[in-house]
Amino acid sequence: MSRINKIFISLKMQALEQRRKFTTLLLVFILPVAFWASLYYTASEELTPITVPTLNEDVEMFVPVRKSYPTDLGLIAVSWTMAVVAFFAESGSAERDRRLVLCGYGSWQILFARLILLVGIILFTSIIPLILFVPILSPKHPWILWLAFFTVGLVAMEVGLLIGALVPRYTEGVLIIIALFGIGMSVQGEVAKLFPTYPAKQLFRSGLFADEPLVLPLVGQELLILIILMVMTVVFWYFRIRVRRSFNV
Amino acid sequence: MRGMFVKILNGTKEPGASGTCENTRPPLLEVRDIHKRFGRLKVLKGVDLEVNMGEIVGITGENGSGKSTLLKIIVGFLPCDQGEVVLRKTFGYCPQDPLLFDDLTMEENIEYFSAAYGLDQKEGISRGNELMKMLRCEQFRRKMTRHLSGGTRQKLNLIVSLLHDPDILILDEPYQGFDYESYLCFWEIAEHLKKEGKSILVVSPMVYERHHFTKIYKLEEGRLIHE
Repeated sequence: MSRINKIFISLKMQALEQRRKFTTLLLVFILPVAFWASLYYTASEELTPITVPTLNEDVEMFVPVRKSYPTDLGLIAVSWTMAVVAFFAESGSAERDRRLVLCGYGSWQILFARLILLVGIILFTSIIPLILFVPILSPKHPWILWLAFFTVGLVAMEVGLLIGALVPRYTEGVLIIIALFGIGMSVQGEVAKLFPTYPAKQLFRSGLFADEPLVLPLVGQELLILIILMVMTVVFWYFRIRVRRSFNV
Repeated sequence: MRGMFVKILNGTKEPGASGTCENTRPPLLEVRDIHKRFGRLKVLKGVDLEVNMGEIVGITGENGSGKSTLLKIIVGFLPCDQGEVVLRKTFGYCPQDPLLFDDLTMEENIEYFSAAYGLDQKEGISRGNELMKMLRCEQFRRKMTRHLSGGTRQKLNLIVSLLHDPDILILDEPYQGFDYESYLCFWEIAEHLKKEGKSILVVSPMVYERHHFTKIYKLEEGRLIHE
């Protein structure tokens, strides 16, 4: 059996597993969307200042309260969903994956198949919120909103995979994800820059409010974070599921 | 000497068959002076073991005596602190806790593990069907693994370790949860494999039908004692 076939079968089996967890995944997705909707509709129409990155400089703009912090929270829906899905995909099957490696799978083949599957899910989960956001928020550049969702989904996926590779138990892992994405999306000011989803948040604001949006530097920053997280994930994943033996054929 | 070594010596496939131990052939499994500690607790204090072609070797011992730890070291799931394991030819490992994909059916699990062994899809499924029939669980083939009874899960666990027709089987309490019929089936399969020149290493806290075994060891205070 070729390596490609092995990847394909791993992809098929992981997709089947995810499909059968559909209700859980749907709940994971709906919870933050419901949270966002309740915040949006209870927030006032008063104007509040926010900083919006534009092509030339950061501009302070006055926008209704309901369009300020609740919009940041919109990103939670995608980032939370992807982080949890990736975490469950990895953490839940770590020991089984080790058995597959013992039987002859390459750890990279399983991880590669998982990445393909998760990127497919990100494409889906980054389009769905637009159905809600575009008519309600009337963004100036809807495609940038999609880009923000997509990049934040990629980073969140890597964070989920990394936590899955590091933390063996569900409870601790989910609590770390809540802390990272919940707090990361809610905090403002300098502290907010420490969180891996900050560039996506800026991209989102830029696409929503700026006439001349800042795109490439923010996407570049997010991709850099993605690459760093991916390298860390691969290293920790390898150590988590490796089989300790030396082959002497 | 930490973090070593299970050597898998996959030489050319020798014809099986004799069913008896031949002194000229090196053992399929050699375990030499294995030591393992968890913190201050020394679990294994110099374990030596050989399993030759066509042998069924049993390891018994109390709960927590280190039987599963020894098997995990042999297959490479755990590193040992000192010692060496040499595995010649292919092996199949059946862990104590069935490591199976709960959201896949029996058939899908078989297909997934067949791919891991490098078997093509048809070959894997056909071998899986054969083993399911032998262990009388083919009626559950399309049932989700999470909905299987403990005994049937254990059967699937065993089937997965047998799919690639290994030369040596390393089984950690393989018949726990089996009904009596299935238990007899297990021994039927084991005897059949023995006749084909395959070897089996079985770990179980209790050994009832001693006549099946070529050798039985007891793991006591970190060492193997021949019974």
